Amino acid sequence: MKSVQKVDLTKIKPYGDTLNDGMVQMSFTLPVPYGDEASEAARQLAAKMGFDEPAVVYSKDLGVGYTYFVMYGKCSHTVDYTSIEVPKVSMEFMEREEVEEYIAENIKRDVVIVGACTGTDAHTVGIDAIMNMKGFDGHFGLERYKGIDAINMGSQVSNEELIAKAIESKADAILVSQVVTQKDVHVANLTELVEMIEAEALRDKLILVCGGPRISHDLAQELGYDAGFGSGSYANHVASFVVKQIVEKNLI
Amino acid sequence: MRLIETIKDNNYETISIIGLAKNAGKTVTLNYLIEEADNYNINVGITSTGRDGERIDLVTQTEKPPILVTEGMYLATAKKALLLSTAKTEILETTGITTAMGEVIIVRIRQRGYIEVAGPVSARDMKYVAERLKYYGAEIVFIDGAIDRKAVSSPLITDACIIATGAVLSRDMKKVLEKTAHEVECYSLKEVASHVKEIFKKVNKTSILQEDGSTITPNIVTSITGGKKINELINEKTTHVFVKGAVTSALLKDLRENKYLRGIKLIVEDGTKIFTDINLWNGMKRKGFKVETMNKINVLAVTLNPISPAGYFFDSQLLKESMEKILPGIKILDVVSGGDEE
Repeated sequence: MKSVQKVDLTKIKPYGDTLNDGMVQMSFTLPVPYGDEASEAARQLAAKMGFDEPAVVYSKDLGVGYTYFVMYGKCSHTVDYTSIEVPKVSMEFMEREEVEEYIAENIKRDVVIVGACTGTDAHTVGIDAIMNMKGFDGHFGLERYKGIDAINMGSQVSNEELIAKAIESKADAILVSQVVTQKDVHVANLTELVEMIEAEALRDKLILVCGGPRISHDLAQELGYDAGFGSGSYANHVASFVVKQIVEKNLI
Repeated sequence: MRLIETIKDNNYETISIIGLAKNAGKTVTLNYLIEEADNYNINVGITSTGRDGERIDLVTQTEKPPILVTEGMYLATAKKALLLSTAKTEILETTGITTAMGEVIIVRIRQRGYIEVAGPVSARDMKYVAERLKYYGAEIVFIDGAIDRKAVSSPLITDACIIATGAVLSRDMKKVLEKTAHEVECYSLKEVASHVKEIFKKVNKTSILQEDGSTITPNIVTSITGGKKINELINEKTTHVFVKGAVTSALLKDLRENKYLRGIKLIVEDGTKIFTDINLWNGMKRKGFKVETMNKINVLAVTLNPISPAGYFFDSQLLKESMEKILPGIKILDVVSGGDEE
């Protein structure tokens, strides 16, 4: 019996049918009319992207002279997985009960957290997963936490409304979620919020957290936030960070 | 006069470089200034409110220009960014200020090379770091703004600013010109008469000044939502309205319908506090609405990047000429196609 081929983590590439075949499926649209010439253009483009044996497996006429393609190609590049380092919020996360205890022992009052999905973004999945009672993937949301007053403003909230709510409710922390973006509008939305908070002279009085699939801790800090939580973050991660920061920054 | 000479002549010590968008050309502008300072034998200090000098952009994954420094310059950067720099440095101080890339460290450049800069993100920490750079011997401190953040250009932190703008703002050159002109206008608003300034400085809250010199302080927590109340308190005797904090579209919309609008001046803290829709702002100005500022921001120059990473570009000559036309009296530099000054 042949032994199973081992993965070389210093040279990883996509897996299709067999290890290291580099197989990639991709799709894109070209602004040319449907036909053989369009498919050849797509094939040549994929070759320029660095794919070996590019092939169009599906194409569809989108009308108005545009064509959509699904393509296969073999990626010839590799990445050294062992050398990758992604800055994350580095702390020991507490479980819900521990967060509740921590608040009772160290803060001794309710922690107010205001959350919203800002700008034109109508996708509340992120903020709901963190804030709503039922939470997500077996992790209860902030509304369920004893000692946390969680205010979920929902979607398409303007930065002005969010700040006004935070001031009115004497919030300790603001959570902003940005899920869907176009032309990096999420970045402009996030910086505008920080700028307004700086303008209102509130930056030192608030913990500012953002989250979403395109947000890393790195980017969040660059934008002037205290932390950024990407996909796979749960309410207890955010809660741990916020309550510890309240104590650290002496905002009790 | 060359930009660096203007800075020296006015004794400006801290200069912020802010971008109106990502990829507007802040780093190219910074490199230009570093080179100029080097030619004039001026020791500069460099720091950044975000990360800069990294080769690949965090958001767009596009290539970015590196930052080259020479011996005798000073730098405030995070520990991990320092380890990625090729310039040889001598550590002067560890500040205790933390960033995503570790603690901010102040160093002196010993041997020329490339650097990565990641300085403090909050405006308050930045003020401290700029002071320390000057303390060690930097004659001019350049603060590179992150992405499109501008709080650092507040006169409370820096003496003057340079605004980087370019094709990345919009595919429509008219929009680029309009947005840049609006920003420069907000920054260079006229300073309010000194006796009025003194009154508002003393009140230090959003307030309304009457003809007889008395002030009314509306009972509001923030002017963002306090527009209606401010509006009710304005009468025929009102001369000035001072807004402490953010001046937003919501506030302006509340003031728009006020029948005494023509007779009053709105006073802002400084240009970085204005967050309004351009059309609303311009529309109200046409109706006779006047805005002045407590603290003027010195705009030293506007730098242009005629190329957008999204794959389009403008005729650099045309962009420069159009910009000069709408911003008379402001130095316009195309640092990408060639930053030569007359």
